[in-house]
Amino acid sequence: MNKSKKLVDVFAFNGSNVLLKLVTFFEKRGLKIQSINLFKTEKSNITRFNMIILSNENELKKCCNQLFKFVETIDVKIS
Amino acid sequence: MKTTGASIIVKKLLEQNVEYIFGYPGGSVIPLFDELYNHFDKIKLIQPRHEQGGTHAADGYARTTGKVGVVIVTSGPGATNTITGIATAYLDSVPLVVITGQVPVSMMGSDAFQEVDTTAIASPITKANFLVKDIKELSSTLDLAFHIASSSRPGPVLVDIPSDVQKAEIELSEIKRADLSEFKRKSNVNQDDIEKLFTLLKQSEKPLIIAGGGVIISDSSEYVKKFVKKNNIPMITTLMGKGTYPDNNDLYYEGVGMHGTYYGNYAVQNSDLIIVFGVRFSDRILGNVKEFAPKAKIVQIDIDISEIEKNVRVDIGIKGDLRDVLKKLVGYDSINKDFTPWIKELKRIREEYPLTYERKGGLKPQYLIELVNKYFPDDTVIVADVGQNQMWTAQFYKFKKPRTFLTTGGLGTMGYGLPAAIGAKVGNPDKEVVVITGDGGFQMNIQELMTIKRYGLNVKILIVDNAYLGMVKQWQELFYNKRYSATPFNDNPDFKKIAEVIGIKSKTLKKWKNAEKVIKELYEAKEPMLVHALVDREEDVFPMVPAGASLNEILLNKED
Repeated sequence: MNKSKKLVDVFAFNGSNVLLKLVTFFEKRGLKIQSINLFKTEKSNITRFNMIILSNENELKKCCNQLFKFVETIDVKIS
Repeated sequence: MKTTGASIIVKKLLEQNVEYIFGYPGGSVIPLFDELYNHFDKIKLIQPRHEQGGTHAADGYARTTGKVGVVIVTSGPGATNTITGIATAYLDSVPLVVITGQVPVSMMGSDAFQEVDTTAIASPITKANFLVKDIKELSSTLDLAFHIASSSRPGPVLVDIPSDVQKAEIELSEIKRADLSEFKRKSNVNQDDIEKLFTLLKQSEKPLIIAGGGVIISDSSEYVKKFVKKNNIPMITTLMGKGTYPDNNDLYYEGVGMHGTYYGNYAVQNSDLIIVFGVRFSDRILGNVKEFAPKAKIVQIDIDISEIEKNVRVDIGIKGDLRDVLKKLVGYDSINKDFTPWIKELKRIREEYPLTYERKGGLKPQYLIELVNKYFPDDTVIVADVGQNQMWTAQFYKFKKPRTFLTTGGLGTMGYGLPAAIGAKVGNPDKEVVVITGDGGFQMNIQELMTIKRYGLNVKILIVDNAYLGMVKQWQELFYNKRYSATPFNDNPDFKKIAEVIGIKSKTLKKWKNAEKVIKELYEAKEPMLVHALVDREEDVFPMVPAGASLNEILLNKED
């Protein structure tokens, strides 16, 4: 399957180790994060994690569904 | 008016109606235990001999009662000793709140005495974890911890509280409550998906239901039963779903997977529609995923969207609270379809390939479990440890009610059985509690015999001692040319004597002819009792699907 750069936005509640959880989540599944940026949002307790990940769409979509196992996850957008 | 951090914690426990805590003191929780000292009449302390035992006990309490199990331990080794228990609870979705002490905020990061980064260590094995560095956040964090642990898919939550936060004071007016609404996820069941499910069901000739641990956790067993009976659909359970349906009728075909029944696995491989309630499809169920249920369409229903289609292809995935979904399903009229040919086929396979064992040679563990089934009442809580004893229990004990089978299905934690039985008994003082364990697992938390004695808990203990780490030995026997590397336990102590020294009644059992009498005595004992049964060393667990093989490649015995 062809892999391409995908943009993944995860909106999550602030909490200890959320960044660690996200990074290890993708690493364990063999998906390499090429870059990661964190942004404040209009709600002070929510952070947007913006990642560029090399993957194919189906694989990434299936994988990102599992991000909802984290109680901090509010929304995930792939583009 | 001011209050302390420790006082806030205790008030929060009272507010949450916590009756028991499983706790062990240490330097970083002295302020908290000092505050608890004033409230031991309302919050009873069960103190294990090791923090791992305490965490498993809280787990056993939570699984049997449906309430949140609460653990309190100190920092450093106190916290790390809970890790196996927390991971066990996480893999099986058990609600725990684990409160760990931490070194004072000012000393954090200095490698202080008994300092570890507890939240980082626990992060992958907790549903959520919090480090409370400011007393102003303490009350709201504990609100959140209890809410998260018990809501949606339950799980363990860890709250790390430095000792100076426990000692700090705050004006009552400054205490904040949590806004829990942010953490509440909606469970809107899609009506179209329900309609599609019924369409598939009407088209099906060989439907099958698989009930998993989610059914037990959500207390949905009654609805599953109604749905099964109303539509006359055969069903099986996973290991964690045992107790969903009474284990003695024509619609129930027991277990699936590596040590499921032949007929349960046959049902999966020959069904044309599988409806799955609260199952996460672990590798122990699936075998070779590419060959799992090759003829079936699969409808998976789970509260946790991350489980849907995680490990297996799914035709319809329904995210929702099982109780809500099942209420809707049983609200529909019966589909009035005759599945008799399919049920007859399954009955025939069950008659051809029953669960069985040879009733000769050395004393067989399966026979002892059948005797436990014979003598103990239907609502007895059975706690299995891990390994062969666990699989024999799952196969040969006939579970009739939900929340009566405790076992570590996900993590497979040896040493779970004895302490989990303690928690089960604390939560269910009027029920019989029997722990069935192997010689290896029993010795991993043997110190908790003292806890049983201290609190006078009427726990019945059956050790099936084959002087092996039996399940590993079985794999070595079948797949590693009988090279029994590190599995023989020829130097086991006399467990009867150990129990006697502690003051627990005990018996050794070696012969078939004495088995019935001893198990009857175990049931009739009005105090804790241990039976050390020396069983046939070479007995293995069958049927067995080798790891990674298709469910069709099931072995019925050693010669297969």
